Amino acid sequence: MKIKRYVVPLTFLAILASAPVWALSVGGMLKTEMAYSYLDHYWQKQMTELELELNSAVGAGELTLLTRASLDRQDWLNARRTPATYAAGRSLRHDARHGSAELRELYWETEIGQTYWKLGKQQVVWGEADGLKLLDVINPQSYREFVLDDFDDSRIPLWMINVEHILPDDSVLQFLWVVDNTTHELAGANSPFRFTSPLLVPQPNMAAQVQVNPLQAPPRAASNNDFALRLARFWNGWDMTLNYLYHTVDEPVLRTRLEGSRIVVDGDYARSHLLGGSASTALGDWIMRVELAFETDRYHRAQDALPGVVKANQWGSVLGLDYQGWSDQLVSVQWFQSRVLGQAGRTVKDKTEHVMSLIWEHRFINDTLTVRASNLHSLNRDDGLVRAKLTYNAWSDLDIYVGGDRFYGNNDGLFGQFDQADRIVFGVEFGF
Amino acid sequence: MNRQPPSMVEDFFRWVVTHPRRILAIGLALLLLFGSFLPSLEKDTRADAFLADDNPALIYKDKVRETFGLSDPMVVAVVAEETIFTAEGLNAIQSISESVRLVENVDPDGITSLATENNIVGTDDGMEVQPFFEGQVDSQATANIVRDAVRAFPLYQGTLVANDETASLIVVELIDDGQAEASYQALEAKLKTLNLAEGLTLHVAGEGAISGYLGSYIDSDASRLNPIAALIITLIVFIAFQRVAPTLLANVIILASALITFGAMAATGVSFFVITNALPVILIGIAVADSIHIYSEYFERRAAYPKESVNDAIVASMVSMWRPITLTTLTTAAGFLGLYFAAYMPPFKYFGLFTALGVTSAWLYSLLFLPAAMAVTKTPIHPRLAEKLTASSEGNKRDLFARTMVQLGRLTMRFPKSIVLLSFMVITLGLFSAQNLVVNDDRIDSFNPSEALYQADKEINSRFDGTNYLDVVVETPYIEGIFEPSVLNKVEALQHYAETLPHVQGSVSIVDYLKQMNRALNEGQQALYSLPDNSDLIAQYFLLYSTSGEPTDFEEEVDYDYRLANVRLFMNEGAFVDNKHVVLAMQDYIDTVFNDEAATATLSGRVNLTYHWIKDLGRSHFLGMGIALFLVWLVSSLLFRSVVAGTFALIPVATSILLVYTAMVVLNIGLGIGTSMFSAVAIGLGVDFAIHTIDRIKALFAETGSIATALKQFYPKTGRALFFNLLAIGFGFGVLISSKVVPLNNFGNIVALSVVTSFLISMTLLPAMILLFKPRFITGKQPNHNDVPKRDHEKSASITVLTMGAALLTTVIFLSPQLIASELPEGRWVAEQINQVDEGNVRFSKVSMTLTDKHGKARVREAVIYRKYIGEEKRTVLFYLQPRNVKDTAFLTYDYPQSEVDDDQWLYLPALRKSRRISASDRGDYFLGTDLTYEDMKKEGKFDLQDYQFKTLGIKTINGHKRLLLESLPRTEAIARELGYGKVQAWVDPDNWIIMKAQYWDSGMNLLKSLVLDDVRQVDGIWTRHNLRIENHKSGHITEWHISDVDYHSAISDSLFNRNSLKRGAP
Repeated sequence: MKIKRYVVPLTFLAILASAPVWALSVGGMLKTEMAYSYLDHYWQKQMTELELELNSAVGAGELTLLTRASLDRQDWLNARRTPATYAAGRSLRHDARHGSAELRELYWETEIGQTYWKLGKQQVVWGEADGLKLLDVINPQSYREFVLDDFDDSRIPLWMINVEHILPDDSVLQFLWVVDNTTHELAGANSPFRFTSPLLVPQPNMAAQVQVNPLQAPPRAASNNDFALRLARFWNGWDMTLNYLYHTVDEPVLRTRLEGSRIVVDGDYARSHLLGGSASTALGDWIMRVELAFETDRYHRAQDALPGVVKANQWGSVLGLDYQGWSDQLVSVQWFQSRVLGQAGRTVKDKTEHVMSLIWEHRFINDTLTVRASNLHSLNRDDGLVRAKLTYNAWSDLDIYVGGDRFYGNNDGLFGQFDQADRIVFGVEFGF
Repeated sequence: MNRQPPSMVEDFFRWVVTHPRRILAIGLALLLLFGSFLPSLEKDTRADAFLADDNPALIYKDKVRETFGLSDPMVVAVVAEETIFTAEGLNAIQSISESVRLVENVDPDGITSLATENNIVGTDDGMEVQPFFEGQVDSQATANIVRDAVRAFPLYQGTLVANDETASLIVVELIDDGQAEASYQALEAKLKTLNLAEGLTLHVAGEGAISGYLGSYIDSDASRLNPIAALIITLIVFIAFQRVAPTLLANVIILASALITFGAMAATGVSFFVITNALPVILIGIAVADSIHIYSEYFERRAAYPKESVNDAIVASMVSMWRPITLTTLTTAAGFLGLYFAAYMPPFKYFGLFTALGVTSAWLYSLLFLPAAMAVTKTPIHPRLAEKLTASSEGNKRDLFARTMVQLGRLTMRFPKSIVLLSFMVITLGLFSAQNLVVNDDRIDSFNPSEALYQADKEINSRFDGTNYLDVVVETPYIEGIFEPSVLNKVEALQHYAETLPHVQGSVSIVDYLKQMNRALNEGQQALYSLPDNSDLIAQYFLLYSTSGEPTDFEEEVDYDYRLANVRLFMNEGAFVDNKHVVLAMQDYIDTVFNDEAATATLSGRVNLTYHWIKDLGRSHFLGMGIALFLVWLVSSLLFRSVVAGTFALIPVATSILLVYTAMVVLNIGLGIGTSMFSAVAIGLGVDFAIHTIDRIKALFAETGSIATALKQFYPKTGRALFFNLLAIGFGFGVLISSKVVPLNNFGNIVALSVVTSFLISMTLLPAMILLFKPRFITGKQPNHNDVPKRDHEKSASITVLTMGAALLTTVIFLSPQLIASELPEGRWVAEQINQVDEGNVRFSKVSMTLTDKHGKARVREAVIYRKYIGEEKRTVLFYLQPRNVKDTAFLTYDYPQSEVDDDQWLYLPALRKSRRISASDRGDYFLGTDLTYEDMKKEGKFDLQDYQFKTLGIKTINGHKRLLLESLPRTEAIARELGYGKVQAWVDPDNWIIMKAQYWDSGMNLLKSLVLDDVRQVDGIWTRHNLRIENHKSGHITEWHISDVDYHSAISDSLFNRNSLKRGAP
């Protein structure tokens, strides 16, 4: 079995190795980041990460390999062993105390006529929204640091076939067949970022004995594969897409049941259809972005203790406005809205949830210094996250940054649950 | 006035104190926003900054500078004990001339000294032009030869060599006057490294050095004074309230008004001028006053009603204080706006405008932020203060300040008539003095006499002909028109006349060189030191000269075509009072004697410029004061709904200004740059005392029904608060008294005097007059609402403002430089030729960008660019390849042929793995950290014909290549702001219509950046730019753009220019 697990990647690597040395290009990034929890006075992480990227022309296309190894002197965020949410035989990831090594991406891409093929382990990003995800759900996400990690780092690449075809009117039709059923990686039990909010996890009566069974990963079967279609078109100054995705939702469905006097929590995954679209355009100094998504068969935490979840369809929308009228500055406001259809009053979350986001970025001194501040705020629960970061491009290849992340609000909220995880962050990134 | 119902005001402040965190957060966010603009605030200490960019004198001076390469040089003097003509002296001149050449921003071809200039001597076969000396001088005999040669060349006596031969000058021209500060420091540092022989001393002076040093001189002074002022204010507030919170919050209000003011200046592109240094101190004074008044009221309430809740106390204090604080803000802002409307010099205008903004910001923060912060801090009253405040009006537990004010009150109430009489005498004396005020300014007097630069200036001006230059530009209608003997004779006569004028110590023109050549060609006969009498002979002299001399030797005296000539007059005084007679006399001579069909002359140079910007200072001062007084009167009358009250409010400031005039005449202080703006400041600050006094006495009268009782209550409380207000402002400005910068020092003295006077008059004369005349605006017989219809006042105020605006606009239009018609190709035609340069249907190129900041730190980026025309639509995509942190960043543009249609642009950010739509309307924004704007990137050296009006200014040969100088002016101010350029001057190669060099001015007409191209060559038959160097003169940042691997043939797929393709990176 072990050998079988490595067949596909080894084939890729063999192809890569057969490429002449002069056709290889190698680059990478060495990053050190430290996060200090100033409320509880401990280091959340003291991590050094090495990313290596190899590119080589192979056949009529190009092969890309991206690996990542990280060492964290602290152990709060690391799972120590590969979480069960990673699909068996697909993850190519090894976790240990204080570190992990993984093959992040490995794909071959080529263009044949008007069709572009990208085959292998990769990331696919959909949508127009920043900060919260509506259409950007092809790849699962690592919630080791909730949403604090860069999306590029936290998105978990999947094995898939990605085909894009340019139609005669310049529209692009994309087809995805995702064979990898890895789901979201959740923070470990000791992590400051473990989910505790009743919006996400069951809140059993403390008096009862609780047994939490391991999550049941979706079985490896073609019926659990994800399929997606997207039609993208640029028309009269508007970028528009129509999206369809049939997939296994990456969030586990946590059901509770009574077994004698014990409460048992089981976690499995459910499938859903997503139909949506996005649009964006520039209106003078303003950029308007819209994203819509209708999802079937989503599970939400229920008011009733048993089984603790209700199934319902849901609508989501994002309206974003960016202002770029000030030199070297970006001000962006977004309004996320999600609405549970039916099941009135049965869900823990409100029927309609609103989250606002504000981003302000200012670049100084010919882009050597960048200040970025952002706020995600839930209007339903008045909780949120404020982030600020100052990045200095010291040399061509070296960035130094310092920042802070502060959660606020009630512990029951999506953001408020991490109220104790506020931190300051320092980091250095060196590219080569 | 139209008072709001009390409940509304109360409700409002109640809301403020119950939602403090929201207000504090918004307040702090605003600070952050304005603060974020601060790094782009620029300093401009140039003397030229005092003239509007469209001032004809300034425009002409810049033209002269371009034609003759004459700037405001720095001057290094080598002074010997006995004679400079020794081996050591000459070697020192040689080594200084060599080493200053290496200093950054020094024009290596602009060094003039005995070591660089040529001697003209006759030889058997004509004339020989040779250096006075070369290399090291090793003996006294050689030095004596040099001495004799210089003695035989009268031109250099007094200009390069001191009249008593004890010193010699090295004149150092700068490439960019804007960088004079750094250049001056670099020059000083360089000179310190030289080992000079004993007995030799060096002095550095000249307008270049003055400009250069003034910047750092004022900076160091301001950075020393402002913290002291803030510290003193902090101490005063602490003494007043004996609590930390009020002290801190007063500082926050100060910080807010300063940050908003300077942030707004930076955001609107207004520079920090020399006089802007006085702005922080003014804001400190004004901002703290509002805090003092609010806290005084609050603590009084806490003392009187200890059981009242903190929030109730704050609300009650705000309800009672918002009105006087608003009144004083309106009147103070009106005072500063007077300066804005009246001033003709940009620094003064902006000073008025932004101080008004600062005052308004302080008001806003005092009314919103301060009560919110008070509600959070809930500062309790100090028991000692409570005791003092609750003491009976006759009690002796009051503090010293209250007791002093009570004494002053007693005096006033006892001798009201004497006070009125005494004040009347002061006013009369002031009126007489005002007529004896002298308008004067001398930049060197900005420095303390103990400064080395000041002493150097005096030293050099006493030994040489002078470092103050008045240029006379002679213009003839034809090429080589200067060769006409009649013209040259006129120039000689003009020089003779000029040298009879006071302070003109010498002059230099091409005439002096021609005389020297004539003598050299006639065996050095002294009698033939005269002008040749025929134009052919003159042309031959120049031809002969050129066989052994440098072609650039006469660059400073004649233009390339011999159509223009410059006569430079040397003056040993820089003061306006000394030089204005010379300028007027020269102008009169030019108008009545010199100008005719053969030649005309125009004055230029620093002295002429100084004359132009100082001459109207007096008029502007009185006009500004008049407008400020009128506005303050208007606002006060409207606010108190009484013309008499408005007049009362003016009395203290008017008296204080007149007293200051008396002091200036007595102390022999001229009305100069530093002192002329005192009246706006004095009115702005001084009127507050009167407003508070009138408002409070009125309120107290309404409560008590007796003027005497009202006054008794007025002094210990409001009087005490005003006393602290005075102390804060007085000490704030008092700090300026210790300034080393003389005009700031004078300014500080004068304002301190005027504010003290305003306070004393408000505390004595105003109450005395109220006591004597019992005016209706105090005694309750409220004027009928219909008597002073508010609308009418507003209307008349609007009409006044509009009229002034229209007048200002008309003036600006009339002062705009008149365009001069020429026979050069039409500018628009030239621009069309540029736009028609073939750029190929497709193009691939690699680009290496080196971005270097002002400290020399370089960042290198590499990218590839693909461009393709699809029909008339131009699509361009750029992919970054290096370094890692920007690798795969991609930028895609669709540029549509219809200029009214905005481009479509996308930026792919690999960190997000997403392409973002970006706005294309900010064409003037800089492209990804380079010094090229998005518009520059898009147009690739071409113009959008809809954006500009074009004009060909001239044709010039540079390094043997003909270049057309094309000036492009944005059609509207909006376009100028959008593009970021107020003017573009481009040197175009008429052989291939490529712009080889360009200079860009910002919308404020400050030199912004310059572009230089080299390596322009044909690739596949298409002229292609390969190396571009763009230097931003404001930030000192440089972008070098090296283009390689250009390919116009290989096919590029349309699909590359699709938003979806950006994520794939460069193919």
